[in-house]
Amino acid sequence: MPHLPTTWKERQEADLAAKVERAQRDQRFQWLRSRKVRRALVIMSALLCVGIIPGFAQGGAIVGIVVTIAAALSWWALRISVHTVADLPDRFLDERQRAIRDRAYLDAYRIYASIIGGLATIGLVMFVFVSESEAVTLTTTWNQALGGVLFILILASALPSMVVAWLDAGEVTDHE
Amino acid sequence: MGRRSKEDEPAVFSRLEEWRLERGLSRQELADAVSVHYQTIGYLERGEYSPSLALALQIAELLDAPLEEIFSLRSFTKSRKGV
Repeated sequence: MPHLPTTWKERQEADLAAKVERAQRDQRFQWLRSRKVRRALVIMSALLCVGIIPGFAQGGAIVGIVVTIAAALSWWALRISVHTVADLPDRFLDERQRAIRDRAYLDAYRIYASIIGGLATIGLVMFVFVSESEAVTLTTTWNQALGGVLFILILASALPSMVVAWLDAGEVTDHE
Repeated sequence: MGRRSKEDEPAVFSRLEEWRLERGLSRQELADAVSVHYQTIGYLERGEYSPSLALALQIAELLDAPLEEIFSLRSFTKSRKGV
């Protein structure tokens, strides 16, 4: 007789396992899983992520929130497209999925570090050329600060799925 | 001596699809039997992923076929039916 979950922790684990199983076997959104659509989603997600900063800074709070929601939806579609491989622990993945997830995190870390490090370097270099004194006072609006923080958060969350979607070839159906 | 880069790794040729169809299994059925995602079976069949030794042996045992008849470092020159 199979062991039935009794403790809260066991029930949580069983619920999670059932959700993962559904996500892994999902065939409803197969149109999202061709190589072309995956790459289009990656490009769209990247553009929307970048758009969060000017969305808040130039367009104001409403435009910024709309762009942020669009970026989050795009990330959600990406996760469906790759069966949430980038967000799952080892015990839910097979050996190929683990390999591609690990490679994706390595690439995502490098990309993220390059973007954030690059932006910080550009900012400092601009300051050196523009500033006339060594003291600096930065002024920012709430919208600009919020745009920057949301950009950093959403990019960090979405990058692994973006890399998996970019690297992974399109899927075949069981009947092909 | 340096490690072999991924690009220098030898390709693994596969006749998995032929064997799977001969045994009357769908990709999902084979995937469930060896506890992998059904897309991983597709990758193995297309030769886009080289399986671990454990997975290759599991598949060979399940299909009741010699391992070297399913996966090989040399290209299979003809199908098992001689076509």
